[in-house]
Amino acid sequence: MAYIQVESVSKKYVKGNVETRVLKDVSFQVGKGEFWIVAGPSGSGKSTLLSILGSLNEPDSGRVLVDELDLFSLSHDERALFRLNYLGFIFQNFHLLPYLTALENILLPTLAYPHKISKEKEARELLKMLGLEGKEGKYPKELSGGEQERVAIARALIMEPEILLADEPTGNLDSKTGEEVMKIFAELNRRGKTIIMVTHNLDHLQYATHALFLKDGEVLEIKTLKEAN
Amino acid sequence: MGKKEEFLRQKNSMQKALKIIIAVLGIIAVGLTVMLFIPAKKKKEGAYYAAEINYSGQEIQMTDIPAVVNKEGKIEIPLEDVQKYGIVYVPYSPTKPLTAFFLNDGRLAVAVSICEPCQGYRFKIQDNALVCMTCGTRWSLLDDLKGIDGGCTAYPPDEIPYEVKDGKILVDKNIVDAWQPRV
Ligand SMILES: Nc1ncnc2c1ncn2[C@@H]1O[C@H](COP(=O)(O)OP(=O)(O)O)[C@@H](O)[C@H]1O
Ligand SMILES: [Mg+2]
Repeated sequence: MAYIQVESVSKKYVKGNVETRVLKDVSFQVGKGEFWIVAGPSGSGKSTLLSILGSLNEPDSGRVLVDELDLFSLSHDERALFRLNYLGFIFQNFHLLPYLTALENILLPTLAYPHKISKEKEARELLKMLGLEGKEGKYPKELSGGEQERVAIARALIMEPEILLADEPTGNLDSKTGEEVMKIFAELNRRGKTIIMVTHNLDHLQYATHALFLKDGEVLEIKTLKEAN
Repeated sequence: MGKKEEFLRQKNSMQKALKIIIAVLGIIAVGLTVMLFIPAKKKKEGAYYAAEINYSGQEIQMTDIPAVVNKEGKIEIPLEDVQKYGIVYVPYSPTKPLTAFFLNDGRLAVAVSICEPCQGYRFKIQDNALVCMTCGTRWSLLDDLKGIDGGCTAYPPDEIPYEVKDGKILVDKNIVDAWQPRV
């Protein structure tokens, strides 16, 4: 079975008597170590799909299995545990807590862990890997957009997730900084992370192994771009 | 240890804890059955109510007010500030800011000012909804912060108990210190 198995996922939103079908029978399979880009026009359901993959939002029908775990047969608490163990989230508005330094922001997810753990050493290693050496004591407002994004990436990585879910992570960055961030994702993928990224910048396809194009909630096309390593 | 083994181990220990909780809840349920005959009250127990409000067509940004802890260990938020500003942000601690605002039915809500899934910490009130400034998730102020749309609907800012005395909202510091993110 594929590492991430999406089976006939459908989702609709009802407002008054207006029904919007946001996802229609979406199916695809992601192998471990693959780098998928989800593209499509605004409103096509990309963010909804990503939030379902992240178990933050429930489909009306269909299943999502990750590492053979059927996400929506887990209880709410089990799902929270699943997210903590398997997933790292990176959003477009990487909003870091302004009163915390870069290092403290990175350590934030460790506070949610059931038993207290210390990951300061790991956090410092991540800072180094992401080229943020010497910035650990800086507050978000003292960092550039690209640096803040990298702190957000480090925060997503601190629990050593197998899977990274990113929703337009370069959406707020200029193209040069966006490119640098994409190189980081490519490197993380090379080190074995499975990545699913929403973007509408098709230049980013060069880094991905697969692309999924959504339109009006339907899978328009799935492309294999290159082999995963 | 692999991710799956680690996950399953934690899941099992959580289920054990759950069984105990369910047993305790069962006992409480018997007691509650008796109370079922008392009609449900519309107003929330222990909450402070001001006049009903309609936020249609309004957009209210958070106003920061300083966090004050009194010598009884209570965080003090002037009720007047919440009435004046609409929604306040109280940086009690870097990881646990608080917010206070009124729902449409006039109920005062005090909550940890964090949208836990996306880790946003700033909100605004717009059109009878509380909106996360980071992910845009909206929760209804008409309906006890029930999710309307967005990625984090299942996790409105976590409400914490308070009391109102002499024009001050008092929140037990210990409760906030012990608070843990749900996600
Ligand atoms: N919680 C929700 N309630 C109602 N409608 C929603 C909700 N979330 C998204 N939508 C609608 O679903 C459609 C797809 O949204 P989204 O997944 O955010 O698309 P994208 O990320 O591709 O722009 C849009 O029409 C949007 O307005
Ligand atoms: Mg989107």
